Amino acid sequence: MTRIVLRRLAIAMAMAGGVLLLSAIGISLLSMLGRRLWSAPISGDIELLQMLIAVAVACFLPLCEINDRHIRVDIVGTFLPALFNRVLLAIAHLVLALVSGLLVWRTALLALDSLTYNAQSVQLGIPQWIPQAAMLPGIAMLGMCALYQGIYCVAHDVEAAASEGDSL
Amino acid sequence: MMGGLEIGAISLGILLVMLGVRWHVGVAMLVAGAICYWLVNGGDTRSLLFTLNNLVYARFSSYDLAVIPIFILMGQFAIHGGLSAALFRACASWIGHWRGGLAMSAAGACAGFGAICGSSLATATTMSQVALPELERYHYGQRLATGTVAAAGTLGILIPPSVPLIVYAVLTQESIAALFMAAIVPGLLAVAGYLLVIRIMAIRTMRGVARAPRHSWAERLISLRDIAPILVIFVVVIFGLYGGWANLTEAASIGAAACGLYALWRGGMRWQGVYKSLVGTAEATAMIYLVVIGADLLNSGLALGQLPSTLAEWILSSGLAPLAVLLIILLIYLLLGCVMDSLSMIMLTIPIFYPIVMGLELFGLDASAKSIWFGIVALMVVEIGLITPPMGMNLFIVQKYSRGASLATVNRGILPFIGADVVRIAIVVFVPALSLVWL
Repeated sequence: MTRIVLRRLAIAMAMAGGVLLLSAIGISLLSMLGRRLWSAPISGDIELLQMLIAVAVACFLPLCEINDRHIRVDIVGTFLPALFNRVLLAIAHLVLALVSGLLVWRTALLALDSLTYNAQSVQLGIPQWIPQAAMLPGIAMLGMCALYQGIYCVAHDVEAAASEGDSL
Repeated sequence: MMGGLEIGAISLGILLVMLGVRWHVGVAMLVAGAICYWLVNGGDTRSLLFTLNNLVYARFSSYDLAVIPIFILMGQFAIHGGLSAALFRACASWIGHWRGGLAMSAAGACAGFGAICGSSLATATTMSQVALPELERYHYGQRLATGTVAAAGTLGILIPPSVPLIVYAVLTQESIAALFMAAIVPGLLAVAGYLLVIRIMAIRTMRGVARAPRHSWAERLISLRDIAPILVIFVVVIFGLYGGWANLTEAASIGAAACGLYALWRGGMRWQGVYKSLVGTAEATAMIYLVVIGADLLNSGLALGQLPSTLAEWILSSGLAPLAVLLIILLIYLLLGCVMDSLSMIMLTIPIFYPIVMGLELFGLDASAKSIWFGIVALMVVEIGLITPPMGMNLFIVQKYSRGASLATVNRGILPFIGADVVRIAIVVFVPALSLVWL
C-alpha cells in the first residue's frame, strides 16, 4: 500500500520533471531559432534552462529509487546467503535516506541564504531561491522512498521485487 | 597530520568496502568524499557542510551536464518510436541474405541506433527485442546471436552522442563537440571489427544453414525511406555542432524534438509511449546525477588532500616507462570493468588518471591532442567492461531477452567480440591519429 502511494507520487513528480525538461528543450530551440532567423535570442535562455533542468533532475530522483534503479556494484551479492544480502541492501537504502536528509537540510540552507541576501540570476533577475527551494521536494521524496525501501528490504525478498519493476 | 596520499588511500579503501557491501555508488562516493574533507581538516566539519550547501544545486544546474537528460530523452523517443525495428529492417533488406547477414544487420542497426542514443544499455535492450527473435527464426546459433547484440550494444556509447564522453569532457574541461567528432572513426572501426567477427563465426558455424531471403530493390528503397529521417537527425546534430550554428544543448534539443516528432508521426507513438519515454528518461537521468553529486564531493575531497597531483608526481618521477604506466592504467580499467558500470568508472578514475596521463610523454602528442585521444581510449576500455563476464551489464540484458539462452552460453558467445575489442583498443592506442582525424 505504502509502495503504491510512494510510487504514484514518484511518478507524478517524474512527469512534472518531464514537463520541465520538455520546456527546457523548447526554450533552447526557440532561442536558437530566434538567434539564427531573426537575430533576436531570448535573453537569459541559459539561466532559465539551468534552473529548469536542476528542478527536473531533482524531480526524477524518487522514481529511480522506488524502482530500485540507482547504480550499485552487485558482485558480492551472488556469493552471500539471502538474509545477509537483505540486511546489506537495507543498510544501503537507509544510508541513502540519511544522505538525502543531509542534502535536503544543506540545500534548504542554501535557499534560505539566497533569500536573505536576495541573490538573483544575472540576466533575468530571477531570485535564486526559487529553483533551489523547488528542488527540495524531489530530494526529500528520494529520502522517503529510500527509507521505505530500507524497511521493506528487511521484511521481504527484494531480488524478486527489483526484477519485476522492469521498464527501460 | 596525514599527507594527501594517505588520506586519499584511506578514503578510496573505504569507498571500495562501501561499494562491496552494495551501497549506491553515488552515496558511497559522497561518503568517501566527506571522509576526505573530515581527515584533511583534522576533524573540523565546517568546510564540509559549507561545500554540501551548494553541492546539489551547482551540479544539477550545470549547463554542460544539461545535455545528458536531453540526449537521454532523444534515445527514449527513438526506442518507443520503433526506430530500432526500422533500422534493423533496413539493414536486413540490404545485407540480410549474406551468410551471417542478419547478425551483421543487427550490428549495423546498433550502430545506427548508437548515433541517436547515448546509452549502451538502452541500445542492447531495444535491439535484443527486435533482433533476437529474427535471428532465432533463421537458425542463428544462440552464441552468435547473443554475442552479436551484447557486443554491438556497446556501440551506443562508442558512437556519439555518448553520455560517458560528456562526463569525461566536463571532468577534464574538454570540448564535448571535439570528443564526439573524435569518437566517430574509432566507432566505425568497432563496427568493422564486429562485422568481421560475425562473418568468421558465420562461416565456421553456419555452413549448411539456409540463409534469409534476398529482398527486392523496391523493398530496399522503401526501407531506406523509413530510416532517412534518422540519418537527417544525426547529420543535423553533428553538423549543427561542427558548423557552429548550434551549441551542444541546442543540437541535442533539435535531436530530441526531431526524434519525438518522428516517433509520433512514423512510429505511432501515443500517450503511452510519451509516458514510457518520460519514465525511462527520469530513471536514467536520476541514476546518472546521483553518481554525479557523489563523484563531485569525492573529487573535490581528493583534490583538497592533493591526491591526484601528488600521485601524478610520484608516478612521473618513479622512472616507469610512459607506455608501462599507460598499460597499467588500461589494465586497472579492464579489472574495474568486470564489476563496475562505465559511468561510475569514468567519474571515479578520470580525476586520478587524467593528470598522470597528461604528464606522460606519449607518441609525441601535444596536450590538447593527448586529452582528446585519452578520452576515446578511456571510453573504449570502460565500454569493454559492459561485455566482460562476470558482471557485464549487456550480457545480462541480452540473456534476459533471449529465449532460453543460459548465461554461460552468452558468456562464451561474447569471447570473440572481446577479442575484436582488444585488437581495436590496441590500434586506437598506438595510432592516435585515428582519434584526431577531424581536428
